[in-house]
Amino acid sequence: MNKTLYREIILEHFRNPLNFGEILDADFIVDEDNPLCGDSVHLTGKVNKGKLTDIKFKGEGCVISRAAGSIMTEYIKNKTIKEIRNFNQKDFLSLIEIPLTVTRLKCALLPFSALQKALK
Amino acid sequence: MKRDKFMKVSLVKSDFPIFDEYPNLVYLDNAATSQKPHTVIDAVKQFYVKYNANIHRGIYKLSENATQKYENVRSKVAGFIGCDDPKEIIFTKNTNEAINLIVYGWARVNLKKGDIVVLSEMEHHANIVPWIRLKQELGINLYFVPLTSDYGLDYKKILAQGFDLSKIKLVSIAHVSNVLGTINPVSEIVKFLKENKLSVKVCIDAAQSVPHLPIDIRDLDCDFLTFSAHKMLGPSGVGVLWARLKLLESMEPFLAGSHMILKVFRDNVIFADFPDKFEAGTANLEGVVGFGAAIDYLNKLGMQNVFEHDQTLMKYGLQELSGIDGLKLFGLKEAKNRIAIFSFGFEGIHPHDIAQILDEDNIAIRSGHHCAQPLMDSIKQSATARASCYIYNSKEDLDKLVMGLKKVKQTLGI
Repeated sequence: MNKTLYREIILEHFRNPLNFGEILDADFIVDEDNPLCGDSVHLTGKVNKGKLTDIKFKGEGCVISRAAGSIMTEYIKNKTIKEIRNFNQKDFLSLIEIPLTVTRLKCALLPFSALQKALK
Repeated sequence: MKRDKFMKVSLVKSDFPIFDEYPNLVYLDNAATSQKPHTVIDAVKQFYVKYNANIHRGIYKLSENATQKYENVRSKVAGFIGCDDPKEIIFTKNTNEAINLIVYGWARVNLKKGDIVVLSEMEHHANIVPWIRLKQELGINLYFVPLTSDYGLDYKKILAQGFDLSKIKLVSIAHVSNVLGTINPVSEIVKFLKENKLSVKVCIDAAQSVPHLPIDIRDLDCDFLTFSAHKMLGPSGVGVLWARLKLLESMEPFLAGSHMILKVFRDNVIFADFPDKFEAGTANLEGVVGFGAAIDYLNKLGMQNVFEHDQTLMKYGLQELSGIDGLKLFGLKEAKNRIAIFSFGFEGIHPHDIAQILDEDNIAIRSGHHCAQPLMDSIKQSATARASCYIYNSKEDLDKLVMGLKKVKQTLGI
């Protein structure tokens, strides 16, 4: 039984997610779904001179996937694409600091999977 | 057993060792699977200790005893659903396999391109996906009976679809919805089909009804009935297909191999008579024997008592859940024609979060699409949270659920 999953910082990212929305003149647009629970994420971003100058996400999701989207986008914004490519799943999970069961791991990874799709 | 005795849930609950292991567990995921009483666990163990041998054709005593144990359960299952002939009971792996047996053993042989199979919008994937495969293979058409505004089946709509009614060959629907808890009026539907001169076979997915309602196939008047042992106190890996004798006679086997044969040549085979014909390979012997103990347990309680207990919880649950501000219930609001399965949600909150926060207080519910994605589409939800009761649940469990849901609201700030 995990008592720390819904700690205040995660709930704050859920209630008031950072970078939530959509960039209309985006340089890249990706969508990713989790068919297991019906979660979806829509990621849009702007790239200038090898740097991610803006990124936004939106979609339907649980606390975990939304908080993960908020934390991840805030972290990678204004980083170079090279830096973002080096940002791996392990880094991502230590960044969001949510102890996850196997089932919930998929929720957390949804924004990260969308990012990997965008990097391709 | 007397009714007043049964209502002492604590007595029933003490028969289930899992609650000794986890005294604080509030188990409300019974539509997914039930817990097992010690008599069932012991029967499985005893089979290994006292009877273990492969059944049929063994000349030695041990094998003969094992066969007898296994076949006794067939008779028990028959008696449990009002069937006079145990030959009409086929053991499968689960409800899902039983439906596949109908699809591949009966429908694939008897249906042709353009024929119609009627399903409903509240079906479990087990009663949808095999039919979609048959549609892809044979070119049959599927019609999904829509929901009424109060989560029942608008089955009279079948007549108004403009298709050639003589093309309808089978109606295959759930007796009780695993998401909504609705009890569909099977015998009324059968009567309606007959009155309208529709010469169709009726298949009932009874996975959610046999555990909770007294079932008599003569009253239901259907042609096929399928259910699983694990949702009614028995082991996993055992399911049942009941079909009318005449239909079984015209059915092809679904799984081929050992045990289902009379004689095998190098280039031909003569199948055994049913039920063996439909039970290829070594069955889940200990599982079937454990299932027998589950039926004994339910018979001892009395299915009418089991049903009344469910109805008490259903009424109480409806009343308590509808008192939670912001909670949306998906299912009949009126406390009739439904069982104690409650699907619900809060606007803007994913059901996974509801389930996870409840789990912090050891309240086990399910969240997701419940293997009913077409239904999720009909009720415009990607998922719901679902609490479902059984004989060891009490009003107190539902009180804990309500408390837990209040905590969910508080945690997520809604």
